[in-house]
Amino acid sequence: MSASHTGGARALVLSHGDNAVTEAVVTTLEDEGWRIVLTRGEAASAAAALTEGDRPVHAVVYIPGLLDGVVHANHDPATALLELVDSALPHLPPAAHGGARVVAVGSRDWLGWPTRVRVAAQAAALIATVRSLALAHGQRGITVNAVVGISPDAGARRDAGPALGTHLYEPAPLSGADVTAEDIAASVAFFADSRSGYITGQVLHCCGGASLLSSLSV
Amino acid sequence: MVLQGKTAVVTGAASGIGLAIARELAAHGGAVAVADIAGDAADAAAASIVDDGGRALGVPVDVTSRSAVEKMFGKVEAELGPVDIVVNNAGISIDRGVRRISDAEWHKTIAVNQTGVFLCSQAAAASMIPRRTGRIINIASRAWLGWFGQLSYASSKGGVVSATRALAIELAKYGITVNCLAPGLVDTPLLRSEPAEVLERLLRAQPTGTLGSASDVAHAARFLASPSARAVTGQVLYVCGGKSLYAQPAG
Repeated sequence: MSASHTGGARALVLSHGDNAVTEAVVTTLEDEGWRIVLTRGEAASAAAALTEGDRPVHAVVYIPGLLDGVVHANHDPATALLELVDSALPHLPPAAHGGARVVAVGSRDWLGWPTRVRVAAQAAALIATVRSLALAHGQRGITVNAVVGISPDAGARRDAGPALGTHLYEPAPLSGADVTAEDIAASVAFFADSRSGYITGQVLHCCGGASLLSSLSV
Repeated sequence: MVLQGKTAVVTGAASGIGLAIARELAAHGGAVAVADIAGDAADAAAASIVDDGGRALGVPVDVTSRSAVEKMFGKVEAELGPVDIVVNNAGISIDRGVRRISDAEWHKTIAVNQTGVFLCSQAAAASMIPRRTGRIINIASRAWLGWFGQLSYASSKGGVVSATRALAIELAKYGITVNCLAPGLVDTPLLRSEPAEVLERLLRAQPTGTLGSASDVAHAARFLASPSARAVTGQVLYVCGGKSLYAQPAG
C-alpha cells in the first residue's frame, strides 16, 4: 500500500513500550516513505526531538505500551497523549496544508477484563482522550484515531485456561491466527495516510474479531 | 499493486461511492466487476476503468434477486476468476418519517439495502470458504445511528451493521474478514443542490468542518480489502469527519 505522503514527510513516534509494535510501526511507515523521528522520552517534551526548520510533521503516533499489560505508574497514557499533542501542535501544518494525523495504539482491554482492571482503565481513558481530541482539533485538519490491538499472547493465555480467580477465558482472535505487530502497524499506517483525513475519532479494533461480543465494540 | 491477482465485485458501482471504490481497487491491481442494476451504466463505468489501464467488467444485477445475484457471480468468476473481494455498496434511500412511509417504500428499502447484502454475502461466502480467504466490505451509513425522516434507511443500515458483525464472527475461521464502512456527508451534486443555509448548517455539525468525498470512502475500502488488514474484522469504520462522535449544531 502506498501512502499519499511521499517525499519524506515526517512522522513523530513516541513509544513507552510494546517494542515489537514500535519496531513494526517504524518499519511500515518508513517503507511508505515517511521519515521517522522516534522518541521514548516524556510526552510533554516529545516535540523537542524535532528539528526546527525541517520538513513538516504530518503524523504523530503514540504507542503507550498497553499491549504489554503493564500499568503505567509514572504517567497515564491518556495524559501522555494529551501532552504529546500539545507538544507537537506548533509543528503540525494547518488544515490548508493537509493538517496532520494523530494515531494512538490502544488495547482491547479497554472493553474490560477482570484480571487487568488498571490496564483496562488506562486503555479506556486513552480512547476517551482520542475521541475528545478529535473533536477539539478537527477544524485544524488534525485527525485523531486509535488502533486497538490485542496481545500476541492472547491465544496462548486462552489455551492455558480461565483467567486467575474467574471462570472466564481470555478473548482471542476468532480466526485462530495471532495478531502480529505488523498487523497493528498496517492499521496505524492507514490512519496516518493523508487520504484518511475524513476519518477521525475512530477506534479500529485490530484483534481478529476478539472484541466483537462486547457491546462497546460497535 | 497490493490487490494484484485479486478479483473484486462492487455492487452499485456505476456511479458515486461505488464507482470510486471500483476505480480504487482497479488502480491497485484488482480485476473489478462493476455491478449495477443499470447495466448500460455499469458497462460504461467498466469501460472507463479499462481506458485508465485497469481490468474491469460491467455486469447487470438486481441485488434483491437470488437468481440475478447467482448469475452475476457466475459471470464474474467465469470471466475474471474466483471472487476475493465483495463490496456491498448498492443501496437506496427513501426519506420519509414514520407517519408517511408506505409499506412498499419500507419493503423496497429493506430489500435493496439489507436483503441485497444477505444474498451477495451468501454467494461470496460460498466462493470464499473453500479457498479460506476473502474480504467482504459492506457500505452502511452513519445514518444507522438514527436521524429524522430516515426510519427505513436507518433501519436497513442498522441491519447491515448487525449482518457485518454476525458474518465476521461466522466466517473468521475461514480467513474471511467482514467489515463495514459508515460514510457521513459526502460531496455529491445532490448535496450541493441543497440551499446554502442548509449546507452551512450541515457543515457546522462536522467536527472537521468539511465534507467528505467518494474518494475518502474508497481509500478506506481499499485498506479493508488489502492483505495487510487481515486482523481487522467486524468493524464499523465511520468515514464521516467525526460526526459519529456526536456534534450538534447550535440552533
